[in-house]
Formats: sequence, structure tokens, C-alpha cells
Amino acid sequence: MTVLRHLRHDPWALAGGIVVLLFVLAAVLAPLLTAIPGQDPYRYHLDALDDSGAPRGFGGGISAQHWFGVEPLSGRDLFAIVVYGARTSILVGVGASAASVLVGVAVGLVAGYFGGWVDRVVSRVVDVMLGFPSLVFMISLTAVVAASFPKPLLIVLIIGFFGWPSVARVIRGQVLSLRSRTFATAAEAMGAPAGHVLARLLLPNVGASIIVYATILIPASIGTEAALSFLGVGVPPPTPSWGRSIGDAVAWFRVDPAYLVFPGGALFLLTLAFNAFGDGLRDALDPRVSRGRRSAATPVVDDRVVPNR
Amino acid sequence: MTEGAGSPVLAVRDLVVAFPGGAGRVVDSVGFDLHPGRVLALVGESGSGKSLTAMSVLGLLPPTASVSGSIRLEGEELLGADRGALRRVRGGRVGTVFQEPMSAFDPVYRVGDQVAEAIRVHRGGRRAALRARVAELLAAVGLPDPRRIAASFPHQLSGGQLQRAMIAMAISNDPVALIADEPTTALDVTVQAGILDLLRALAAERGTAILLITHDMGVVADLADDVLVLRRGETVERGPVRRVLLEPEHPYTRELLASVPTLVGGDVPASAPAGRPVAVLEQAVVSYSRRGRTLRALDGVDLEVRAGEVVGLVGESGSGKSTAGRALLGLAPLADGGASVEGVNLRRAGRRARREVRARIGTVFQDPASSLNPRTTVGWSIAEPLLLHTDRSGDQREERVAELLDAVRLPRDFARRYPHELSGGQRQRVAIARALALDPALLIADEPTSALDVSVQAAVLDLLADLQARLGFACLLISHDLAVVRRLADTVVVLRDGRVVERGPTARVLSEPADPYTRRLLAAVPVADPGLQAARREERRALEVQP
Repeated sequence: MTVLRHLRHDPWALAGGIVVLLFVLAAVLAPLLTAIPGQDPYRYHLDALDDSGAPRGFGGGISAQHWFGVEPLSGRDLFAIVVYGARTSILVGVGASAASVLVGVAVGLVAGYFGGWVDRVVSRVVDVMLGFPSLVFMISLTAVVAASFPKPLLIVLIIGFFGWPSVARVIRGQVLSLRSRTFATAAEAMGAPAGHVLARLLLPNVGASIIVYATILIPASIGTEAALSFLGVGVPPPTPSWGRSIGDAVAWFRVDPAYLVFPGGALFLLTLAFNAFGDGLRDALDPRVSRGRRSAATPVVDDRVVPNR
Repeated sequence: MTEGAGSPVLAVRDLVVAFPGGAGRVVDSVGFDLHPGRVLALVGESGSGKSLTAMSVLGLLPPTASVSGSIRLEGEELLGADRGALRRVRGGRVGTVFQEPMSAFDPVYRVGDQVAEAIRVHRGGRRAALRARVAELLAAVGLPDPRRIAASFPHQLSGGQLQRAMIAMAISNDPVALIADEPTTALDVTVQAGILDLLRALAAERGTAILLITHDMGVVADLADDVLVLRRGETVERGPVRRVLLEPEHPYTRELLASVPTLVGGDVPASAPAGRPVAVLEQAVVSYSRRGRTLRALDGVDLEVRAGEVVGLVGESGSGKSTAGRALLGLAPLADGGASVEGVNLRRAGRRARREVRARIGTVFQDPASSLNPRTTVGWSIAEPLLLHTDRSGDQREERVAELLDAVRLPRDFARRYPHELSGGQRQRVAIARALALDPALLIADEPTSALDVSVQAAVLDLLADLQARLGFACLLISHDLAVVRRLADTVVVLRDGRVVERGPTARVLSEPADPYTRRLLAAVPVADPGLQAARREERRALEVQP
């Protein structure tokens, strides 16, 4: 509740949250939305193009039927592509982030709690993963894996696989400091098994950071998916993807700049909104920040409030 | 405060510090005079506003605070003074000594450089001259080998050495006044005694006026000339130290003094008839290796806690007293010797057996703020041992939690609250309730009251004594505070550097200590009676002269 109240007073985060919500709605309701002008992202409209394959008319062929204009060469409706592209972006972004967080939290908890050789092994693996040229590896992986493997799932798994190390590192650090807090020692002193300490004591205490980290990972994953599609190794055509549209649009930029503006703008807006929301969420959940802000209203009546050490 | 000759160095009048919102005035119309060569003690419990009062002199209050009144340093008004003027005061005409010497120094610079920096910002000077001045200052605060100290990093020095260096820094610009905010609270008693001697000498020899902020009546008796007692921002009582400590007029002052655990007078618990041994350490050795060196935290310790008795384990920091408790819990593995609880040999017991033994032990830790899970309710925390070791249903657990809350004299509806909604004393009661949830055979209380205010401390100690008498568990009370141990323990064991130096019935050990270390430890504890304390000081000095 206090989190919601805090977010309400943070216009930047609030705007981010609303934009994210709008994109999610658009993605869910994509068939309905595109049905209004009577479009879908797969149908060709060659009549909307001139002889060179560029869209006819203003702004890449913006009209009552084609709200964002049409795609060069094929004449497919750009509004439908952007709206359906949101599905791809959000699905891959959320899926990959969920995979990263799941693995990262599990690994971080275990490494931080057990310490010793477990921690040493995990930390080295994390170091290697973070130092890895992941984009090169992702590109080659998409080429190596059998074509029969569903491509979107593969993309989710690959991006998720390279996302977990940073999560694991953050969670491990937090668990290390939590483990030395007395309540964890107290639980151990009363004979609590490792599972109890991990699940009932440590996990709830890192919950806030997990949520925050997830909201920051999602835009990063969306960006990675767009990058892969831009390079032509992402979600295969004809499934709409912002990254692929942006990649194609670069070649048409002189003739038809609107083709770049719409998918590019959507990608920019969504990642910015997620980041703004994640930032606000971190402030709202971080007790230190909220205490700093709250001190204006209700200071703690305690000598120790004063920075006297 | 009539004895102060001449005009005051620092005159505070009608000081009001308020924060917007519910808290209101946290310092309310406080006023005092600080005279050269005299020590004024601001005494109070947490939330009394004593530190805020001192910080307002330096203009170091949080920006949200609104301050009114008058603070004059040698006639010059400090309230509303510009930043430049305040900066010249801070560290220049007013030196400050903080509570935690460990965190008051920057860990990445040498101590000497930090002291030199304090001089340089106020007076400037060449490197060589500064270095000589630093050595002179460090020698003046009683540090042997000042050049070595100056070249050391903070982590290479002990707390006592750092606090002396801090004082050297505070007096580096020959301040007219010194603010000492709980200067000895983080230190061992034997170290504290030396620091108090040093501060007394500064006031006497240099004529520095000292504003001492403390919660410890013993420290007040040892050092202060005048006392100002604060409660919730208001002045409760003021006067010369003898009058206030020996004939307090205000009921609050009387209550505060009455709750100070004492080393003289009062009752010492009569030794209870000892039952079967519940916890035993036999020639226990616990060692840590740090950077290739092996340190023995426990070095052949014998300890026995019998049913129905309270054993006080006393020692200064690094004595291994907490390690002994951890060894009994199986949290610190033994390198040699034996440990058993309820007849189970902890060295030979497997994982499972060790966990079952822990179900027979209740533990209370020092810091109630961190010993409860902040994300769960108090009721959940109290029920945690039941959840782990019994198969009681939710209702049965709730019932037991209610019983336990009754036992520690907290309202039953506290079960639904979160730790941050409770005061320190209440949290410690919750921790005790949790420790008792499984009717333990042994209670290990590790510094159970040292994070609490004296008045709260007294109540928690009484509660522990009462519960122990009623439930008859064996209790290992670990503390640095001899007075706390005296109040509760039947038997005392004194540890030093991982070895037992003395053991025996509390009354005997604390009145006729046989070991020289125990004698010094006892002599270093200040008592809340200025006359008596002066006599004790002489005694302590005599002990120090002996080898």
C-alpha cells in the first residue's frame, strides 16, 4: 500500500507505469485494435505502393485504412505490424526476464547462503558469463540449433541464459549481508534447516530487489530481442518484430523515414517506460530512500537520526 | 552551575529543535552554560534529545529540522551563522569526539594524515611542521610511539587507540570547547577508564570546556562537574554532579539512578541449588584462521551450566565469551576438547542430532532490532521454533504464542505487529518469548540488555530473573557488564583471551576477586556515586602501577 502511495507521488514512474500498461493492453487486444481499420500484419497491399516499391502518399502512406502507413515493398499495414510486434517484444522480454530472475535468484540464494566452495564456483561462473561476448554467442547459437526448435522459445531461452548472472550477483551480495544479520543466526540457533532459512527468511527479504531487478531486466531483454531481429537472427518472418522492421527501415530511411519512426518510436517508448517505472519502483521499495523522503514528514525521534558517526 | 568562574565559553538559551510532522519538539527549551575547564554532562535515554542538542551547537542537524533559541560561543551567535563561520567553529574552536572510533576515521588514509588534515584546513602549515605537531598531539593523548601510530591505517589500531587519536584530532586546533558524544560507549571498561582519565586531564590542564553526552551514570560520576538530565527533549533536572546523583530531586532522575545495575550494595542472588549439568564445555578449543594465522577464540575452556542455575560469562571484547555460546549451539565447531548439551556430545553428533539439541536451547541476542525477521509478524517469529520442531496446528501455535506473550508481559495483540512497530525493550521481550517457546533446558543470553536503555534494561533483567526462577531452565548469561551479571548470575566465569582466568560464586568473585585481571576489570567499572568513584579511581590507578 505504501508502495502504491509512493508511486502515485512520483510522476515519472507513474507515467512509465501507464505507458507500459497501454502497451500491454495493445498487445493483448491486438486483433481487436487492428480490426477497427480492418487490417492484419500479413496481408499485402501492393496498390498502396508506387513503382519503386515505396509507399504512396504522405508519411509512408498514412491514411484512414493505414494509420501508420504501409511497409515498403510489401505494402503490409505498419500499424498492425507495430501492434503485433508489441506482442513479440513483451512476450520475449517478460519470458526471458522471468527465466533470468528464476535462475539468478536460485543461484544467488544458494551461493550466498552456503558460501564456501559453492560460492567460489558460482562466482567464477558468473564472472565468466559476464565477461563473455554474449551477442556473438547468441547469434551463433541461433544458427546452430536445429530449425525444428521453435524460434521464439529459443530466443527467450538464450536471452534468459545470459541475463541470470547479473541477478545472481546482486542476490548473492544481499544474502551475504542478510545471513550475518542476527535473525538468520537466531533461526540457525533454533535448529532451522537450510530450506527454512532460504525460503522463509531470506527470500522474503530479497523480494523487493527481485521485483525491481525484473522490471529493469525486461527493457534490456526487449532491446536484446530487437537487436537479434535487427541482425536477422531473431524471430523469423513473417511474425512481426520491431527489431526486424527497424533493420529493414534503415535501408529505406531516405525514401520513407516514417517506416523507421513508428517501430523505432514504439521500442524507445516501451523501454523508456519500463526503466522509468522500474526506477520509481526501486525508490518506493527501498526503505532507505523512502525513509529519506519520509523524514520530511515524520522524523524518527531518536538521537541516532543525527549523522553522528 | 554557580561554581563556574567568569563568563561561559558556550551559552545555550531556550534551544528548541523541531521536526515538521508528528514528532513536534524533540528538544524543548534547553539551556546551559559551559565554563572553561569544567565538564557538563547531558544525560538521558534514547530519544531524550541529548545528541541533537550537541549537534545543533555544530550546526549539524538534518536539513528538515527547525531550530530556534540562542547558541553563543564566546559571545558569538552560532544559530543562523553562515557556513564559513560554522566551518571555522567545527574542528577549530569546538572539537568533537564521536561514539564509534572505528567509523569516525576514513579507512583508506593513515591516521596521522587525517589528524594533519584537521590542522591544515584550519591553520595551514608545511608538511614537516604538521608532522611534528601530529606526533606531539598523539603523544599528548597518551599514545606510545606516536610516529608508528601516525603511520598506521585505522584498521591496524585498537578501538582505544583510535579514540585517543580521535581526541588528538579534536584538540588539534586548541579548541575552547570539546563535544564528546558517548565517547566511551563502544569501548571496553578498562579502555574506557583510560579515555575518561584523558578527558579529565584535558579539562584540568588545558582549561578546555567539555560537553559530555552520555547515557551512563557511572561515566557521569567519573568525569562530570555539572549534570543536565534530559527526557524527551525537556530539562528534568540540573545541578552539580554530587547533588544530582546523590540527592536527585526529580522522580525521573531517581528512577533512572535506581535502574542502574550496581556493583556495590543491593542483593546478590543467593546461589540456587544446582541440578544436573545441562551444558558442558571441556577443554574446548575454537580456532579461526585469518590470513594464514590461526587465532584461538577459545583456548581450553571448561564450563558447566547446571539445571536451575545462572552462569555469568564475563569478558571484554575478544575474550571469546560469545564464541563459548556459539560452541554450545554447534555454530562454532570445536577444534579440540568436548562440548555437550543435555548429554549429547556435539562433536560426535550428526546433523540431525545437533538440530534436535538446538531445540532444547533458547537463544537471546544482543541487538533486538536485527534478531527478528523484519518481514514477518512478531507472532510468526515467536512461533518459528514451534513450526520447526513440533507438528502443532496453526491454532495450537497461536495459543502458545499468546501464552508466551503473557509470560513476557506483552499484550496478546502484539502477535499481529511487525518488529519495526515495537520499541527496543518490547522487541527484546519478543526475542525472549521466542527463546522460551519450546521450554528450553538451556537459555543462552548473549548481551541481552546492552543495546537497551538503563530503565528498560532493568525491566528486562527482572523479567529474565523471574522467568528463570519460575521455569527453572539453566541459563548462560554472556555479558561485558559486570553489574548485569551480578544482578542475575549465581556463578561467574571470567574469560580473557580465550582462557578462564577466574570462576566462583558471584558474591565471592565480585567482592573478593582473586585474579589480578578480574580485579582490574572490577576497578574500571565506574559507579554512579562521584565520591565513591573518585576513591575507586585511586584504587584502580594503584592496580595499574602493579605489574
